[in-house]
Amino acid sequence: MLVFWLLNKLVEMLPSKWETRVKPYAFLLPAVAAIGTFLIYPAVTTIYASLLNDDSTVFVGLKNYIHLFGDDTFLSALINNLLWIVIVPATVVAFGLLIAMLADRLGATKEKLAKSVIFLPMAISLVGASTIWRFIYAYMPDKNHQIGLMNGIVVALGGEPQAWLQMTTLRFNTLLLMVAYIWTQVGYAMVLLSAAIKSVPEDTIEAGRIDGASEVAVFFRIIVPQAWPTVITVFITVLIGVMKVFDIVYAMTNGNFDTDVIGNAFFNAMYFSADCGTASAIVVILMIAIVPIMVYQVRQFRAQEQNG
Amino acid sequence: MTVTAAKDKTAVRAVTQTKKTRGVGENAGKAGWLVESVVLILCLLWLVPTVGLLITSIRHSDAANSTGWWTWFANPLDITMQNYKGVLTGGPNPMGLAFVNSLTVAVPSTVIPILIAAFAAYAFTFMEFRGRDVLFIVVVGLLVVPNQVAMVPLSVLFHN
Repeated sequence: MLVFWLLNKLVEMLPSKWETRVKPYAFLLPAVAAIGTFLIYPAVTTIYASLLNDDSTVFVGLKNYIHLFGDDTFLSALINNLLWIVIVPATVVAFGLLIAMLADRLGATKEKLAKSVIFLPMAISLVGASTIWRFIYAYMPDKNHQIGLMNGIVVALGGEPQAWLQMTTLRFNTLLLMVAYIWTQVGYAMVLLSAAIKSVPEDTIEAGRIDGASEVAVFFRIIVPQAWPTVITVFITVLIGVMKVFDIVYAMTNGNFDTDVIGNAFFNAMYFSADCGTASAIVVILMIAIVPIMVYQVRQFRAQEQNG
Repeated sequence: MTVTAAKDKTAVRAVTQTKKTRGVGENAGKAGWLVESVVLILCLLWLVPTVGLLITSIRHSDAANSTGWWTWFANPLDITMQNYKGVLTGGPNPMGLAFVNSLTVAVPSTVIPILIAAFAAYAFTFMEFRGRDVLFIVVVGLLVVPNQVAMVPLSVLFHN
């Protein structure tokens, strides 16, 4: 705050012609400085480090990348990330819409209650959520002493307990990790989508009903299109979060049993193998993967600027 | 005449339709049992993991390690506060310090970005200057850069 005040005073001391010219930059300076140190500088260093060897002393060119793309575990991590991207954002938005829509029809008290319950996991950190879901997936070899809910149900139904998080068939364990992540994110989607649904003008819905549209048609052809910008925002936010997903995988399986993702692969390369070059190369791959979203985001903002 | 008749008909239909259907805004609170039960089931599904954790936290550790938390319902008086006591006061790292640390991280990391962003937003919205669009696009585009990018160089930077 003091910094801004000083900056402002300094600028005001300049002749008035200069004042209007310099002021915007003075206002932007802290933001640009912060972005410079915490985003641009690291990004550039990371790209450079990805071309160096494990302790950043020898230039090795693209060797880190060639090594990574020949590595089965890393390719498996890429496939997992792809699965996360395909499944999680869409599921989160779908659940968020469903709950927002249904809760909207309840009475005020019930609606608040239902929303609070769904939003609750958002307040739990991802590591906390991992602990909770590890309890659910927990596995005990002794059939009659299951402490995990899923195995509890399986045993109660007369089945054999399973080590869920080690089931690699069709990457079932990755799906289980996604469930935990979805559980935490739906609350966020629901809050934003609920606000969007409530701001849909009543008369457009009425008009649809007068024209004889069914409730389902009203939902998909009147409410959803008008809430679409919010749907996109939520989708993109969750998508970016999913691409960077790390905590859940790290805390639940540490990438074992074919559940590795880019974020966790980076962490292991950096702190477990102490291989700065490979770690940086992984991050650069992640950055490249995120570029299309970046372009989309910029376009979206430009379109909004022009409209507004 | 026919036009007015048609209009009347639509009006009547409109009234009956609004009465029959339920939905957003002023029609809220008219949910059928189907909607209510679906929401109820979803809420229960969402609550079960947390409730399980809550119950586990008040059970004795040997009980929690050998039987599922749902068995607690058979004997609900068998509870202990020992776990909470241990976490808050005992051990080499009592949780009190963790709260303080969380606060020292949370407060500045909320206030400072909002402050910086507010000033930048003011400049972007109300001031015309050269490079405005380019700067704006850079800021928006960089929103999606993963945190991991900053980890290695910043740890080096702070180390020096």
